[in-house]
Amino acid sequence: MSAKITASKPKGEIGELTASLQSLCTMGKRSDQELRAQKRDVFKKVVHYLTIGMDMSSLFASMTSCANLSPDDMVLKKMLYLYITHYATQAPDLVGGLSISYKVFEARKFTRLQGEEGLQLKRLTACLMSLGDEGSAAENFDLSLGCEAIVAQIGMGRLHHNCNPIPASVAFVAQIGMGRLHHNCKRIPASVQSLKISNGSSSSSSSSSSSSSSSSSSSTENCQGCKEEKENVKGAKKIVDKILLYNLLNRIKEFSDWSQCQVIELAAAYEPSSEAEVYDMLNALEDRLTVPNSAVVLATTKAFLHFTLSMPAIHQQVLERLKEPLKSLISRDDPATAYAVLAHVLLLAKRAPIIFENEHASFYCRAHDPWYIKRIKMEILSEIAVTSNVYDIVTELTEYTRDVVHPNMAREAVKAVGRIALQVPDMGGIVERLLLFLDSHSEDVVAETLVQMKDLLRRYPDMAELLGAALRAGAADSLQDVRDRALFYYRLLQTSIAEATRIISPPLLAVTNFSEALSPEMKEQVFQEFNSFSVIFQAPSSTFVDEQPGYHTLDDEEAAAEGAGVV
Amino acid sequence: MLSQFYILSARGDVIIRRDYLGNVPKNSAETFFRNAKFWKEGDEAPPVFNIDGVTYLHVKDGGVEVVATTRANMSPSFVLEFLRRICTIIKDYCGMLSEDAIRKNFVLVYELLDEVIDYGYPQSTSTDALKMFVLNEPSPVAPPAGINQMFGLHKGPTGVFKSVLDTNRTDGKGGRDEIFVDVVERLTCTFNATGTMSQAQVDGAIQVKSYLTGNPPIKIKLNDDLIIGACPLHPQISGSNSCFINLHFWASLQVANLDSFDIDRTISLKPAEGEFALMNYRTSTGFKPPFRLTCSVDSDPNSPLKAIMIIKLWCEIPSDKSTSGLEVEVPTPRYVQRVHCDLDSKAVAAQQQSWDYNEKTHMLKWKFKKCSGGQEFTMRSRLTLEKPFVPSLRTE
Repeated sequence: MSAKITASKPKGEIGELTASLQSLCTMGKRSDQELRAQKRDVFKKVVHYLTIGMDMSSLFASMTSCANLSPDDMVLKKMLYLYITHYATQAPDLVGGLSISYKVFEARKFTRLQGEEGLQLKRLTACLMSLGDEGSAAENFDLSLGCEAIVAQIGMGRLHHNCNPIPASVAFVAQIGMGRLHHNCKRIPASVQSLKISNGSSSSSSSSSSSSSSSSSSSTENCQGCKEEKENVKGAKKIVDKILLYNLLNRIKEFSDWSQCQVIELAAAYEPSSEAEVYDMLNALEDRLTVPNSAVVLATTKAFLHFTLSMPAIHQQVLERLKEPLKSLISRDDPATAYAVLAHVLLLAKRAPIIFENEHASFYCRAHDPWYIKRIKMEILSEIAVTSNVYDIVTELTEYTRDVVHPNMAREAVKAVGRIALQVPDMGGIVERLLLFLDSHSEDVVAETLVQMKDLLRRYPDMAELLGAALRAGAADSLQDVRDRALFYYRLLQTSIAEATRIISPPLLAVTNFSEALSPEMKEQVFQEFNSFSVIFQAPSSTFVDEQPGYHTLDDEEAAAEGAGVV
Repeated sequence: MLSQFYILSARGDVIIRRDYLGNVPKNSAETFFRNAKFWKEGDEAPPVFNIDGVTYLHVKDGGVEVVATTRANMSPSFVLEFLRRICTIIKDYCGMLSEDAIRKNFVLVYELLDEVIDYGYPQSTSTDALKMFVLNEPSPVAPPAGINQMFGLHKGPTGVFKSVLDTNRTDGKGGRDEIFVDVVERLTCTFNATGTMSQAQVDGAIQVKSYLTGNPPIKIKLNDDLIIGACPLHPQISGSNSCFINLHFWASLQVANLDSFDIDRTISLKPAEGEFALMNYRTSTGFKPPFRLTCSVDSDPNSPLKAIMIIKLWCEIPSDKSTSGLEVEVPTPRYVQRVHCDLDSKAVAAQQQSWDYNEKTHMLKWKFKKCSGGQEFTMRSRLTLEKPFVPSLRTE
């Protein structure tokens, strides 16, 4: 466990590190190579302690001076930046003042850097710049200076798009940095201006000629991401620009997998204006279904389903078309991704069980599936049971009840059989199976069977033999309480059935629906949020999302200063 | 987007930690480990779960847990696929994914992470593109002995542990241009109680591990008698070599050129460095299972508390081929107390076969080191039962 180490130990290690850092600041008699290697070792140790949670902030001064003395060692610089970014927000007082001046120093070097290594450095500095933390107005001014430098770079980077991919990479890192800065310090005017520039560049790059390289696509993506972030913060509704969307869709093959997901999400939010347009969109996205990445497939599924909601015939066809890719995704090796896909298949099975009726064999549990996969597969099996396949499904589920090692799985199997009995109109055979389960010798199975029978009785109150069997099993149960009650009812029934009916069961309505399931509105909402966590947790997002602000923002600090609560 | 990313060892120590958005409390690693280790409903936590408004997603690979946390309502497949991709990248750069490898190369991993996720948004994850920005050298780690390679399509039989960066560093003479192409298939068959096959499926992938410098274009040709169809229109063509494969054709992006596939079954591509799956396919017809197993249970004439179970295994592959590392697992009902097996004594002496019974899980295992085709193997076992043998027990 990564608990914090007690106070006594760090003195020793920090002291050691301080000493070694200071000794490394002077050249001494060591050769250049040795010095470099030793510096790297010490920095590595610092990063290691950082990761496990020890407090290294007091080393800031020595670390910076050490790194500055070897200005061309990129590895050292990267480690230093890692260190700074880690502490910039955790211990702002200690590190903040120093880090801001450091940043300003770097910013001034920024524009003078040349060459390939210079470009690497620029990217790093762009990352660093954007870590906005609170500070006084003077520091903010300096920060804005740094931002302007980056903004200029973005301008230059755009011009270099087509010649050299590396400056473009600087540009898009800077764009994300701008987004972050804006998020944190909304009051810096430079950041607002730069956001406008990045919006402008995204639309210009999308309307640029066909020689746009893939790096510009990623820059577009990052702009997109930042825009969304901003809009989420403002709470504005996403109004998808048609031209932008078409442009993105036409070039979708150039994007990386993750950007494709974002583009398709955007497409799903778009409202097509005519049927012809719907067909166009479907054709454009059709081949995304064959990508090995399950995220892209599910995103495309969402888009397809939303486009065709108003056209039932096409909707049906779309569902048929989706069957094959989804089946292939389920049988993949990786249980985590298979789990996500299965959750979505369950949702689809609940909405339209017909499509999976003949595919029940693909949902049989394999011996080495983890328990969460087996559980979802059994739920799916119970959803798609109809008269034609119920015998096979119930036979298969009966096999699962024999699972000795995982009694939970046996219970799930019995639950599934019970659910099927409730759904399928002809349940005589299934009831017999349930009665058979009562004879099995596992307590869990017997207990679960009794629960299922109770549900059955609520639905069909006239099943006398069911009642009899339940009572018999109850009498054999190990718990004293249950035994007594069962025997009591039994004796009552023995004496006079009419009396019993009068006492115990006033005319109850047969229950048709069980209200534990989600209400239709909630189900609709979960479907709207296809391809998100709502499907896995089977509840709309409002129940589990608890947005909290990120790093301290200036606005919050102001509010805190005015005497409000602590953020 | 992603709030945090960390990699935990099997004991719960944090090996790598990155915090992106700052809206998840710092002790989330402990919360995660505590919940994942002691999950109520099973022996491991599901890949996605939510505690106190924070959703934890995790993937287990190579003995470490790779975890991401988020507060937003994202797509679970997106994050899980992304975590898988990070595992693959670490494998490409460090040679293999294990606690040791990550500890030795943690600076390299931090560099990779910086390039791959920015402010919680995933960036480009192609191994080629990342090479330009990574400066650290990997330090190689020896692979652990005896990795169980049975159930993974990802772990190919080549067992190559090489880092992608090796080809970059060495000059022309030292570096070798190598590419490994494996076809890995997993066959799943479901038999019902009478021994007939109710469902069978083959999931296959062509895995490519490329260490070629400079990404030269290469061509791969497949059998001419492959047919790709959306649904089988006519019944299986019987015959020696022709097979009707229902291929689900997945090619990696931007890499494979399928224009000539219809004509002569070639794929031309410029392979990206590192490991990737060229093609995944699935078929449910056109093959018969390579093994047949029958089992019979009878009461022991010597005592009522024992039963004799005879298991026969036919290996139906052609006699010039053989399998290695075969294991037969027989789950036994709960009232079987002890098991003793008799195997072919010559085979045991030659250490080709062995058996093992685990009382806690009631699982009897029959292991073969090597099993050649066209032969039949028998195992007789005596089961000691709690209660006397009754015909109803036979069904179990």
